[in-house]
Amino acid sequence: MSESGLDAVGSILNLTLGLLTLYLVRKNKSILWNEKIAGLAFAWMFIGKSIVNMSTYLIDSNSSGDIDFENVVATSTVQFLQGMVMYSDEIFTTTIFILCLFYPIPLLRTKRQIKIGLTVVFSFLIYRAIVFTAFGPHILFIPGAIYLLPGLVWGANYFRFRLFEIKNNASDAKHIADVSLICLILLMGGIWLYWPGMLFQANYFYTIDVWGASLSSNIYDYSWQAFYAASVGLGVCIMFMEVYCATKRRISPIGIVFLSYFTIGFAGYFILSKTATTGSSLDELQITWDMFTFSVHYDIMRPVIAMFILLNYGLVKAENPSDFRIAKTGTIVLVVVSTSVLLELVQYIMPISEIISAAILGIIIAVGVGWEEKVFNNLITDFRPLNDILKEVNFATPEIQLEDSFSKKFNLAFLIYIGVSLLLAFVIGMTDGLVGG
Amino acid sequence: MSEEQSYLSFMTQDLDSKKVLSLMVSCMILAITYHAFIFWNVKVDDVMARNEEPIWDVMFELSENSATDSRLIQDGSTELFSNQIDQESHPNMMVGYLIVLIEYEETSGNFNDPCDIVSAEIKHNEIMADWKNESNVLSGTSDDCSPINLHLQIYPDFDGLTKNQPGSTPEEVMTKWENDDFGMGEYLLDVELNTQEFVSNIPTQGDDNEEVNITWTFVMFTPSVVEAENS
Repeated sequence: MSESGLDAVGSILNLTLGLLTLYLVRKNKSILWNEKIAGLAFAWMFIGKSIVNMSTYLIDSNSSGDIDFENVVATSTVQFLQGMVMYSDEIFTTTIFILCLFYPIPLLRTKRQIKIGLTVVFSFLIYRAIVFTAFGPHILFIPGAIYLLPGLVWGANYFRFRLFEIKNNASDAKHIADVSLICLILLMGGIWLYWPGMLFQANYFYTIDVWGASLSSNIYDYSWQAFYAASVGLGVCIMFMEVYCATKRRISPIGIVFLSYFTIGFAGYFILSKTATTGSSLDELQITWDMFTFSVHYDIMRPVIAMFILLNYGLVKAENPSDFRIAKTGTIVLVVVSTSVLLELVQYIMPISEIISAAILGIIIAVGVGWEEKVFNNLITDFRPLNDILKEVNFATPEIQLEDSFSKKFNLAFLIYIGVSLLLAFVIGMTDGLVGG
Repeated sequence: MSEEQSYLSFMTQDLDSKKVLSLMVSCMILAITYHAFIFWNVKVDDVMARNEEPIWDVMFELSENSATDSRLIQDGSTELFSNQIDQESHPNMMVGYLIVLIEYEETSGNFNDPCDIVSAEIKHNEIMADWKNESNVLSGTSDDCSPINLHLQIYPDFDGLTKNQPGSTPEEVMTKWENDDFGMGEYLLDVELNTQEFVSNIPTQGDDNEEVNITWTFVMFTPSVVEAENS
């Protein structure tokens, strides 16, 4: 399976999870208002990523070799799809901003603040869409900005509660730190796989070109990388904290996941650092490594992490047998698809036939019948409401009654945005908007 | 009470929290500063060259495929010659260009009988070739028994010499040179003969036909690519 195959699978997976989450969050009456907003944001994050993955897959299918925007080889279709990638990726950016403003600790704590906050976030979405349509990848787009605010907020949550846990011997406080850390892994995990490249001045980090072509300026690429660097700085801080916690025998499973990312990143340095420049001149081992780490994070780990947060921290609650079945189906689909994709990837590097890998998958499923139910039950019931922990530190989520139509308006805003994106991407395709900058 | 407290004041309500958060922000700022220094100073050459593609030497192993044909053409008539090239008989080979050589002599043996006029033309058809190439010589005429040389560029840009070509990967570079659809099909050549007689007061005897020899030479190639030493 190639990277474009991963995109296609990721797209179907994300769409399924997005729609399931939307349904379950809307039906869930027992969650707090900020958790409802977070649940909806996760749903749209999945849907947005589904469009991105599908567009990327179609770009690969519609082009032979590299797409050369500068020398006008990109067709209208490819430019339309590239526009859709860009606009849909902004859905991810927006949902990440919304998430960090509301979850696990709501920064916006009154109705007025919520209104202003969401208006600013959606205005930023529109601003970036306008800038991209008018100028393409331009510094006015504030590339990489997605990492700053969430990094600061979730980073602060993490350190505050990890410290609180150690100082006050309050083990429950680690749940807030864990949620914040796992949100950071979801957002920055891919960057943390490259962390030694930044510190040790490797070309594979410093020549990162998000557009993969000479379409973007140096300052544009610098801006992306600068925010990547900030994420690496944050990651290094967290690494020291986790190592410190480990010495105190307070390591958490999420901390282990985090340290795994950093360890893989360190190993990757020895593989990737021998390359002269990024992207084009990667050898086969480097491409395979990148596919097993970077692409797996973006296409497989992100949905897995998001689903884990949704289930484990109660954003999705199955309140009746029918919802329970739907939530369980979603989890099983996620686990089975992820496993089969990983097997396909193994098949990509190992000379085992498709029949054997299908048999292995069959055996895993057959042997594992029942385990997914166990895992699911643990996920869906084994948590302590985060607000209880916040109450202990006198920072409980304020009681706010969201309007009944809030979910409808929230979903409508994203639906309208997708409609407008299609139109803008069509304009880009028709006017060669991405060619020559 | 909790509603009144802002997020920022909650996060910084004790000294240890303030310290650790300051450390976190400082780390992020330090990372940005370090990166800026490396990006704009230490790695500036690599950064500027990040979109430059390596240069590759594309080399061609050449081979020739020749065929001959000969016909007696009557005065004032046109003969159609043909030659077929297909992928099965030339696996993994591309067709570079075609040279057609048209030769004839004055064979009447009569005293003072001048050379006949032979005109030849490669017929433009459906074959994938560089039909509009400026170096093409698709038609020619001879009235002095000198051979006619026709040339059709088939594979665009191919001249048999090593090419320097930018590209991200050897595969990408090779895609330009591995299209074996070029040149496949049936080539058609029209050859017209018009005899000449010596114009003088002395009676002479002319001829009314001539044998014309055609040599089709296809220059074929197999490309290979290596990274240029100075790329």
